[in-house]
Amino acid sequence: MTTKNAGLVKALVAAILGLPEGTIGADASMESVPKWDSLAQLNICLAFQERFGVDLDMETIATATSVAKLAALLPS
Amino acid sequence: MRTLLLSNINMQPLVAFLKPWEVTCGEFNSMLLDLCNLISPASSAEFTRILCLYDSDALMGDALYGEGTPEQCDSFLIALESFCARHPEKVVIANTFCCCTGRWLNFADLLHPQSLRTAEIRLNERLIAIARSNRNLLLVDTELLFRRHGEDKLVSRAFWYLGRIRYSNQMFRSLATLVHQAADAYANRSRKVLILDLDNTLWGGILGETGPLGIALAEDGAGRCYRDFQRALKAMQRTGVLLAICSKNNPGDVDEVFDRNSMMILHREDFVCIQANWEPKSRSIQNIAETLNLGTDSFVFIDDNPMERELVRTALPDVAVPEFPTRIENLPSWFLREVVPALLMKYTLTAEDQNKTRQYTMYEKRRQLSSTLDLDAFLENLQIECIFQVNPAEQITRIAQMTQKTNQFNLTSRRYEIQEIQRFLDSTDHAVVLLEYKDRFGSEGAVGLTILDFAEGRIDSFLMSCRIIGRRVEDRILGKACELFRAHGCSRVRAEFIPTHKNQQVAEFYDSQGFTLISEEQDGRKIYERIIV
Repeated sequence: MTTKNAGLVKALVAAILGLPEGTIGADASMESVPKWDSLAQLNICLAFQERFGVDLDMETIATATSVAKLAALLPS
Repeated sequence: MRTLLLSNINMQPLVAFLKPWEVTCGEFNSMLLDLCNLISPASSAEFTRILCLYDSDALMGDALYGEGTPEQCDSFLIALESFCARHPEKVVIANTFCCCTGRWLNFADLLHPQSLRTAEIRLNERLIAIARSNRNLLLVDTELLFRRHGEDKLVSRAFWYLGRIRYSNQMFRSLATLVHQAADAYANRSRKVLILDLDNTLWGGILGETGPLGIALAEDGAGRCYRDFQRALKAMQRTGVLLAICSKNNPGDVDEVFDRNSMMILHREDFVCIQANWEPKSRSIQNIAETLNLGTDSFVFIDDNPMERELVRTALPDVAVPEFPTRIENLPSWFLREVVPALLMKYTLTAEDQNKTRQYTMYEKRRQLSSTLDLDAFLENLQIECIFQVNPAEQITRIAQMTQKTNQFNLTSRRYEIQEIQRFLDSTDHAVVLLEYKDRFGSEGAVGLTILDFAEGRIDSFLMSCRIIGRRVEDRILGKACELFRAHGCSRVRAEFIPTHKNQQVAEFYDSQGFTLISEEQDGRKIYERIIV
């Protein structure tokens, strides 16, 4: 995971959750952030697809529930 | 104004795209129940705008060939119609039926009398009929988006199976834009005048270099792009948009194009004002504003030259100046897709819209006559005829449009939507008086309006199109108003002037009409009274 990718994902997650960017760390995940529920996960993935032009499959949307896992989906 | 979003699937991701609207999402799949129940969020006074953005495939349920109209669709149409009738005070926005996933049987779908495709067409016919009889229902045609972007880009299968979300973010974004544009068009927030450059905008090439027959305007190649652009402009003109020209050219050369080039789709009489000169364009645009008696905030300016665009933007920030397409083949579609929906959209067309150019041309002829005669002789010469209609229900669209669009000769500038006008029409304590103006040059259509409140003996609204200012027609409207007040047993009439930054010319109107000033507020609002027995 590159720092640049993690930074892009952190910003996107914070924007979707409506939180200040600093509050989402590189280790943030669905478990650690209360606002990051299953509906938020879908919204994050919808925005992720559009922003980075990737097409996520069902399995990935269901499991990529942390900044690290989402960032790993981007080319380094 | 608060908005409630109802659906039969998960449309929650749309909320973020609908900003700055304040949108609350209804319960999941609550659309039908919410529309039917007399006590529901949709029925509560809290929400004045209701979005019914449903998924056609899900609403069709398991209905397939030979099963007739799917029951759920039927229930939805009945619920929607009665909701719109029950709540004339609310604006309801619904999408058209558009099945995006269920039409896999190509040939049977075309030919079978009860195929999904046929069902979709029939359902849309019923939906349109409901919108025709309920003016508070706005339809957005989602099929347009599928045609433009394609199903593969707009539908997301993974999200559908994971969370009942049908669309990708691209669709949510486009749908939100469509909904915003429909609401703007419904509220008549479109612009009135389209000002066009000539060289490399209305035709290809430089007129001064190639001459009137050398410009690119043809049925083939690049010349066809400009001809198609002119066709699109002509179509917009028929919806009530006024066309004008602002070009740096010799006026004689431009005249020659109109006289001699048979490939022009637009003719001289299609333009309400032609400014061909070597002045700065901002100066010419101000001339157009003065000639038409309209503010520059109702103008759109199209020019291929980025420097001219920038100069106009700087000098006249109220004028909308869209970017110009970089590829000429995109000119007609750019205009119809980008410029029209954003700036020139109309939700319904009135008879006045369709004749607008002719009316402004007559205005210009009268103006020329007025400069040769003194006012009394001019007015006599015009042979003015005023026809009053009291509570003309069939003109409701035009009446709402007038309250929303009239800025200069408007004493209170109260903006009303169709459903509010409906309440005035239904009330015995109110009268909506519409003036139709005619003179020897022709009819201007409905151009004057006053709304009277008999219970309070008060003139709620008093306004007139700027086209007939200076012909003492206002005296006649006021006379008609007093006559109606007397007939309702009022012995005195109250009237107000509420200042805006555009209606200064009528600040002293009631003073000149024999009214007595009773009070003047800090914000400039003035209350008047006149005894009328």
